[in-house]
Amino acid sequence: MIRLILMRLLQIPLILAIIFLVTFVLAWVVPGNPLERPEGQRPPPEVQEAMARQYNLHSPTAFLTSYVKNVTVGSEQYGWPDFGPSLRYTDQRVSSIIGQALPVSAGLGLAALAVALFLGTTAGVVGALKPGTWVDSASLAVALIGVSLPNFVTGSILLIAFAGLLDWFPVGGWGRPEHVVLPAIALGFFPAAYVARLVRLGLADVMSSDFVRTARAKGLSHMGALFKHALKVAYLPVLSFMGPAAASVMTGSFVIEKVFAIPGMGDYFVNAVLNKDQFLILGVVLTYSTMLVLFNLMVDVAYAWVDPRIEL
Amino acid sequence: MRCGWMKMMRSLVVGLLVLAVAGCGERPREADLIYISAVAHITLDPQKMSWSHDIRVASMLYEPLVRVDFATGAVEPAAAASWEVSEDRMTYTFTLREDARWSNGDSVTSGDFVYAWQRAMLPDTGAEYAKLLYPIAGVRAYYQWRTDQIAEYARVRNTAGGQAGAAAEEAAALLWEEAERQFAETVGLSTPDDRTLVVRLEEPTPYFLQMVGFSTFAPVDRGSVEAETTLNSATGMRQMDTAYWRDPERVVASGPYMIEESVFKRYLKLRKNPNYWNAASVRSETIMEKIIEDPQNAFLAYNAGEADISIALPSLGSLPAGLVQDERRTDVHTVNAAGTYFYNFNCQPERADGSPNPLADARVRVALSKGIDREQIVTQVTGMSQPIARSFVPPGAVQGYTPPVETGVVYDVEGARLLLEDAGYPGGEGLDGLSILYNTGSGHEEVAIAIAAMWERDLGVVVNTEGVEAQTFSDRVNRGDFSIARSGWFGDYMDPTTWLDKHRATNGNNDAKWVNAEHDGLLDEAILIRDPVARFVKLAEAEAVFNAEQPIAPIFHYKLVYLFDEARVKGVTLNAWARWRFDKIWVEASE
Repeated sequence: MIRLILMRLLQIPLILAIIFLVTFVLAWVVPGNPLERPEGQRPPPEVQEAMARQYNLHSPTAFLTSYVKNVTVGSEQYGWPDFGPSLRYTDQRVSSIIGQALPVSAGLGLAALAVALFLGTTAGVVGALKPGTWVDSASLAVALIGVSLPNFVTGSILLIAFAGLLDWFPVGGWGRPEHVVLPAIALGFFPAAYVARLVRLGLADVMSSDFVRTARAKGLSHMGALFKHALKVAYLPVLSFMGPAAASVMTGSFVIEKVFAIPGMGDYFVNAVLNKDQFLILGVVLTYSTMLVLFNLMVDVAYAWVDPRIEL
Repeated sequence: MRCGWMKMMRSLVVGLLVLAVAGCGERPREADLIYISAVAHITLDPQKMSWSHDIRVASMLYEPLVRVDFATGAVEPAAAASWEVSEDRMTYTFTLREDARWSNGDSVTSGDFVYAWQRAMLPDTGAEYAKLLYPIAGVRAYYQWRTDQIAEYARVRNTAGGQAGAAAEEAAALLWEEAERQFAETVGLSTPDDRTLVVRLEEPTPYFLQMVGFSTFAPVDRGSVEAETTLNSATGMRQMDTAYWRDPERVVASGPYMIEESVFKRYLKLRKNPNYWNAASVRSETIMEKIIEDPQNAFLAYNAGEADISIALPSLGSLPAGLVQDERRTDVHTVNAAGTYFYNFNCQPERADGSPNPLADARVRVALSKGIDREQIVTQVTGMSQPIARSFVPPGAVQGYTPPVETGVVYDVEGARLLLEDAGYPGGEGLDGLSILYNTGSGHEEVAIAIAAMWERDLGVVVNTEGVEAQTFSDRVNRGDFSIARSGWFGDYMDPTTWLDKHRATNGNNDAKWVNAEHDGLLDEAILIRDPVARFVKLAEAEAVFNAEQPIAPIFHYKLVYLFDEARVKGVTLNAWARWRFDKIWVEASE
C-alpha cells in the first residue's frame, strides 16, 4: 500500500508538467494583450515594449525559462515558489493572491461539503428507511430539484430571501462566521442532492444483499444493520464522487463567489483567462491540478481502506 | 456510529442557528464613512495608475503639487504653496509649503517629487501614463534612451552568455549610474533647494498645471520606496516589491489619509493622516472602501445599509437605468460625465482582405452617423437619457471651451440617403460586409442591435453585429481588424486636447486610423497660441474639421449614477470627471 502510494506521488510531477505545458501554450495563444485595457488610453509603443519586457512577455522562451526557474527553484526576492506577479493587479504576487484566496475557497468548500454530506446522507438514509413512502418521494424530489437547479439560482434565492428581505445574514462579503452560511448551503446543495441519490440507491441495493440478511438473521435490528454494515458499503460511490467534488468546491466556485462577493479562487479561474493574465492562469491551474491529483489519490486510498478488495 | 451521526446533526443545526442569530441585529460601523467600489485595485502605485478607482484612492494618500477643483476647473495650491510661470511659459517654479509632511513625520521635499517623476519616466516602472510627462524637456528622449540602454544590456548578456553573481550586479549598477547621469543632464527638472522645484518644458503646455494634479505626478517618499527597490542584474532594470503600496507597515503617505488595513479584493481601510498639512479640514477620521464587483450585489449591500455611498453602478445596463427612472428614490444622483460613447469607423483605404474600404469615404461615414437616432438610443435602449453627442468633447467638461456642436451630425435620414447615393451606394446597395464589433456585457449589445436596425430600416444598409470578450475586442481594435467598433473615451486632464489629440495621425490611440493634415495642423497651431481664449477657438476649428469628416460617430455623453442619501452624507460635490474629494465628505450622525 505504502509503496503504491509513493509510486502515485512520484507520478504527480510528470502530470503537473504536462498540464503546465498545455496551459502555457493555450495561455500564450489566447488573443489579446494582458497589459492593455479594452478601452481608454493605449500607452505609446516604447512604453508598451518596456512593460512587456518587464514581465518577459516579449518572448515566450524568456517567459518560460524564467517562470520554470522561479517556480521550481524560487527567486532571490520572493523565495520559493515564486509564481510571478499578476499582470492585472500589479501590486500583487500570484503566490500572495493564491495564499489569500485558497483558504477562503477551502473554508467555504469544507462548509459546503459538510452541508452536502449532512443533508445528502440524511435524505438518502431517510429515503432508504421508508422506501415508497411520502418521505422517500419528498427526499427524492428535493434531490431532483437540487441536481437540476443551477447554483446561481439557489444562491440568488437565498441571498434575496435571507439577506435582502429578512436581513438575517449579511449581503455577501467574507470575514465573519455569518458570511459562510448562505454560500455554503448554495454551494453544497448540488452535491447534497447527488449524495442523497447515491446513498438512497446504494442502501436500497445493499440492504437486500446476503451479508445484511445474515446480520439481520443474527438478531441485528434494521437500523443497526443499516448503520453498522450497509452504510459503509453504500458509501463507496459517495467516496468516489467526493474526490473531484471536494477539489471542485474547495478551489472555488466562480458563480457562488460572484453572487456572494467572496474573494476566493473561483473568481481568478475565470478572470485570469478573460484578462489573459498568464502568471495568474498558470498559478491557479497548477494549484487546482495539484489539489485534484492529491484528492483523487486520497479517494483511492480511502477506497482501498474501506474495501480491501480494491487495489490501487 | 449512530451516536456519531446524531451528534454531528445536532452540532450542525446548533451551529447554523448560532450563526443565524449572530447575523441578526445591528452590526457596529466599520468606519466613519463607507463607500462601495466596483473594481479591485489594479495598483496603488501612483506612478503606475491609470484607472479611476485607483486614482480616487491616490488622491487620498498622496498630495500632489496642486489640486484641481473639477467642478470649477480652478487650480488650487496643495503641496506647493505657490508657483511662478516664466514669461515664455517654458519654466514653472514651484515652492513647496513648509508644513508638508509625510505620515512618518519627514518633510516632503522637492527631491521626493523629482524621484517620483523619474520613476514614472523610467521604462523599468512600466507606467502606463508615462507620456503625460512628455511635455517636460528631455523626458521623451530619456525614456527612449533608457529603453535602448536596457535592450543593449540584454543583447550583450545574451551574446556573451551572461555574467553571473557579483560581476552581473556590478554591470547593472554601472548601467544605473549611467542612467542617473543621463537623467541629470537631459531632463528639465532641478531642485535648487528642498522646497523649490524647477520644471523646464519642451514646449509651452497650457494645461501643464492641470496635469501636475494627476496621480502620475504625485510624490512618493524617496527613502521608503528606494529601500524596496533593487536592481535586477539579469535585465539591468530597477524593480521594487510592489506589495509595499498596500502594506500599512511600510507605505508612507503625504495626503489626508494613510492606509490602516488592506485586504485584496475585499476592502481598504484608511485613517486620517495626523501629519497632513491640512489635517484640520479632513472631515472623516476613517474611511472604508468595500470592493463588491457584482453590481447587483453592490446594490443589495448598499440597500441593506452596509455602505453610505455606492459608486459601484455601471454606466449602462438595466440596473442604473431602473434607478434613474425610479422617481421614488431620493438617493439616486446622476451627473453628466466628461466622457463620450461613440463608434469608431475604420478609415483605412483597404479592408483586412485587401478590398477597397467604403468607410474610407467620409460621405459614407457621415451618412451612417446621420442614420443614428440618438434620441431613441438614450430613451428606449439605454433608458438613461444621457445627453446625445454632437461632438467628441463633451460640452461643459472643460471650462471656457465650447465644442462646435453646430458642425456635428444630427439624425437626418434624407440627408444620409443623399450622401450614400452621392458616394455610389444608392439605397445602401453595394455597401456590404460591414459589422459592428463590441465587447460583450455592459449593455453594448443592445445599442449595437438598435443601430444596425436603424441603418437597415432607414438606409437599406445591412450591418452585422459581432460580440466578443474584452481582450479579443481590444486586440482586434488595436490591429484594425474591424469595420465599425464601439468605444468610450474619458478625459484625463481638463483640456480639450485630452480628446482631440486622440485622432492625430501619429497617436497610438487613433483606433479609427483617420489621417487628416488639416486637423493635425490646426492642433499644432494651437500649441503656439498664448492667449487661452484664442487657443480654444483654434481647437474648436480642429474639432469642426473632425466633425465634418466623422471618423467616429459620437452617440452620447456618459451619465454616471451614484447612490447616497443627501440627508446623511454631507460634503459631496459631484463633477463630470468622477473625481471625489473624500476628505471633504462626512456622515451626519443620526438623531
